[in-house]
Amino acid sequence: MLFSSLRPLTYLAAVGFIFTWWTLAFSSWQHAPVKVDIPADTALERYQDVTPCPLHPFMRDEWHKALTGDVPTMMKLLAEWQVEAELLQDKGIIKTASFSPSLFLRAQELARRVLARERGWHEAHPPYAWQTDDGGAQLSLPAPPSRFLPQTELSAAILLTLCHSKLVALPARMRELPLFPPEMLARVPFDIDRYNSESLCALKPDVAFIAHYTQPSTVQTLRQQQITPFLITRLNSLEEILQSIYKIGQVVGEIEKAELLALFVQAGVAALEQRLMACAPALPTEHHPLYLEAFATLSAPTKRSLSGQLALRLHLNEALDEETGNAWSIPLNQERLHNLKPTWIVFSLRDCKKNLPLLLEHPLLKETPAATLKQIFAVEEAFQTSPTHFLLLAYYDLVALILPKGLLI
Amino acid sequence: MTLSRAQCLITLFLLGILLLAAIGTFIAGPTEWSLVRAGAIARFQGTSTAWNPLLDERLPRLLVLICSGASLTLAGIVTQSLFQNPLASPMSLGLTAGSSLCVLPLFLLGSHLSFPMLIPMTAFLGSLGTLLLVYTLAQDKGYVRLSTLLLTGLALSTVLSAIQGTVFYAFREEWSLMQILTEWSAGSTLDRTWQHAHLQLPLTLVGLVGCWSERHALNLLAAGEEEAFYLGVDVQRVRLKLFLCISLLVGGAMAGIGMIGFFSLILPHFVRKWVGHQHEWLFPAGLLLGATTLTTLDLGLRAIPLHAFSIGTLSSLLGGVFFLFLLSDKQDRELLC
Repeated sequence: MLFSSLRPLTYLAAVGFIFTWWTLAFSSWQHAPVKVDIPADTALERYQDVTPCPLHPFMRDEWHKALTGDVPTMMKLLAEWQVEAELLQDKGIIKTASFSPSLFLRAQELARRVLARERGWHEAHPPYAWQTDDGGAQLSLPAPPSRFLPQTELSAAILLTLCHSKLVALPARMRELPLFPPEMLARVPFDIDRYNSESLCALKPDVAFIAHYTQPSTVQTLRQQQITPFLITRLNSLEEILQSIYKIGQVVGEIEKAELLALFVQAGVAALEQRLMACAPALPTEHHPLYLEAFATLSAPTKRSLSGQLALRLHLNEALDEETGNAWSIPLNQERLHNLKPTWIVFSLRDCKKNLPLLLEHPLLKETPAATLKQIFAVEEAFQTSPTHFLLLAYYDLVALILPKGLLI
Repeated sequence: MTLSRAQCLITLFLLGILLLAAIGTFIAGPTEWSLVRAGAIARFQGTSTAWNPLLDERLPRLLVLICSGASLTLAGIVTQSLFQNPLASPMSLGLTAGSSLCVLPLFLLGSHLSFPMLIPMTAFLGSLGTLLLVYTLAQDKGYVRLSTLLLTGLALSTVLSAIQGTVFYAFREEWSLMQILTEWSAGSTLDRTWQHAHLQLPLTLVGLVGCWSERHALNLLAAGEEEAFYLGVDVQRVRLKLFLCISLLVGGAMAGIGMIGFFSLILPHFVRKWVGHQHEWLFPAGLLLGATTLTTLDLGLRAIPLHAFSIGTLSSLLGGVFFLFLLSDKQDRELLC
C-alpha cells in the first residue's frame, strides 16, 4: 500500500541518475594487478658485488620455528650467526661483534642443557626462583607451581615457547595470530573467556599472568579461586620484553630456556644489524624511507610503540622528525605524504598479501617516487605489533625488505 | 514572503563565512601555496598529471563537507517537518544507527577497500530500511501516530546501537579493526578524495531535488496530516518520497565523512529561528547553514589540531552544548517541549 502511490518512472530516473554517475566516475577505476613483495624464501643471489664476506641465507621459517621454542633450531641458528659475526670481523667489515663470543657460548651451553633435560637425559630441574611481579608483589607459593593461566599475548607467547604443556588455557585472540603453529595451540584445549572463570578454576592453575589492563574484578576472582595473580606490565620495549621472559621463566621453572630465548632474540637482532652493516654498499644513498600503518587513515608509529622503535633502529621515518609528545602515532594525510616524497614505503598491514594491492589503488600512492621505483611493500601486522619475542621476526621482515633481494634470504 | 533586513544580513554573513572557510580550505595546508597554484595551473594546461593538493584533496574535501553539512541539516529539517516534532531527527529515528550498523559488516569483512561503493549503498539501504521498519512498527490499524513513531524510532535506535555495541565488544581484541571502526564512527575529513565526492554527490543531489520538490506539501503538512490531505496532499506518497530522500541524504553523508551526530537535530532550530517555517526558505537556509558550519568546523580543527577531537565528536559536543543552551531559554524550551 505504501509503495503503490509511487511514480515508478520518476524513481527509476533517480536510480538511473545515481548509477550512471557512479559508472562514469568509477569506470576508469580498475583493479590493476600490482606486484606485491612480501618476504619469502628465495634463493640466495650473488652477494660478491656487495661484500667480500660470504653471506649465508637467513631463512625466515627457521627463525620462526626457533622462536616457537625449538631448541635444536635455535642452536643451529646461533652457530650460524656466530660464524658470520667472526667472518665479518675477520674481513674487517665490523670491528667488534655486538653479540660477544662469550654470550654465544653461554647460549649454546644453555641450549645443550635444555635439550638434555627435554630429552630426559638428565633429570635435574633448575630451582624455582620466587619472583616479585611488576606491581611489586612477591610471589610466594607453598610448592613450585606447575599449571599456568596466561591472560595476555605476551605471557601466553612466552609460556607456549618455554613450557606449552603447563598452560591450562589461551587468551581468545591467540589462536587467530600466526605466531604459533595450530598443532601447538591445539595442545592447549581451553580459551580464556570472560564467562568461563568457573571452568578455568576447575583446571586448577597455580599462577595467572595478568596485565595492568586486567579488570580488578577478574583479579579479585582469581584470588578467591586460590589462583595467584602475577602482574607483568613491562612490554614497551624489546629490553622490557626480554626482562619479562627472564621473569616468567623464573616463575615457571624454565630459567635456562628463558635465558636461552632472551639470548637468542638478542643474537638475532645483532645478526640482522650486522647483515645490514655488511650490505651497506648495496643500500641507496638518497633514501626517504617511511614505515606506515594503514587503518582508516595513514599514520606513522612513534617511538612510544614497539613498531615505532623498530623503525627508529632502522632509521625509517626520519623525515617525520618532530616532537610527538605522548602520541602513539603521527597521522599522515595525503598532502603530507606527497610532500615527503618517500622513495621506499613499507606498510604494516593485516592480511598484507590481500590488502596491499588494494591500498596501492590510491592515486596518491601511485604517484610517489616509491611507486615509480617499485619500492612499496607490506609486512604482516600480527608480527609488527606483537608485544612478544616474535618482535625479532618483525625486525627480520623489515630488514628483509630494506636489503636488496638475495642479501638476507 | 521576502526576507527581512536582519535575515538578509545573516544570509550575507553566512555566505561570507562560507566563502572565507572555502578559501581557507583551499589555501591552508603544509604545501607552499605558490607550488600548489603552479601545479594546478599545469594540470589545467595539460602539462602535468601530478597529484595536486588543491585539485585532488582540498577541492573534493570541500565538496564533501558542503554536501554532508547541507545533507544532514536538510534531513533534520524534513524529518522534523514530517513528524511535526522538533526532537525528531535522522538520529533519533534510528537512521544513523541503522545506516552505521549496515556498513559495519563491510569493515568486518574488509570489503571497504575492495568495494568502496558498497559503503554509500549499504548506508543508504540501512537508513531506508530502518525508516521503513520504524514506520511499519509504529503503525496501528494503518494509522501512524507521530508520537508513537518517534518513540519507536528511539527504541529501534537503542536496539541497533546495542547490536553495534555487541559487534564492537565481540571484536574488541581485533585492535586494528577497532582502530578503523573508531575512526570511521568518529567521523573524519582526512584524506577525502574524488572517490568520496563521487560516492556522495549523486545521492545528495537526488535527495535535495526530491526534498525541494515537496516543499509545498511540507508547508501544508505543518498544519497536520488530515488538513494536508483535505488540501490535496497525497500524504502516503509524500511521506515515502521524503523517507527515500532522507535516506539518500543520510547515506550520502555517512559515505562522505562517517558518523556526524546532532547536526540534523540542532541546526534546523537555528534555521527556523532565522527564516521562519516556509520550506522555500528553510531549505536554502539549511543548506547554507549546514555547509558553513561543517566547513568552518573542519577548518578550525585543522588550524588547531586537537588529537582527541574528530569532526564528528566535536560537532556532537558543540551540538549538545547548544541544545542545552536552547533548553535553558524559556521560549525555546516551550517550542521544543
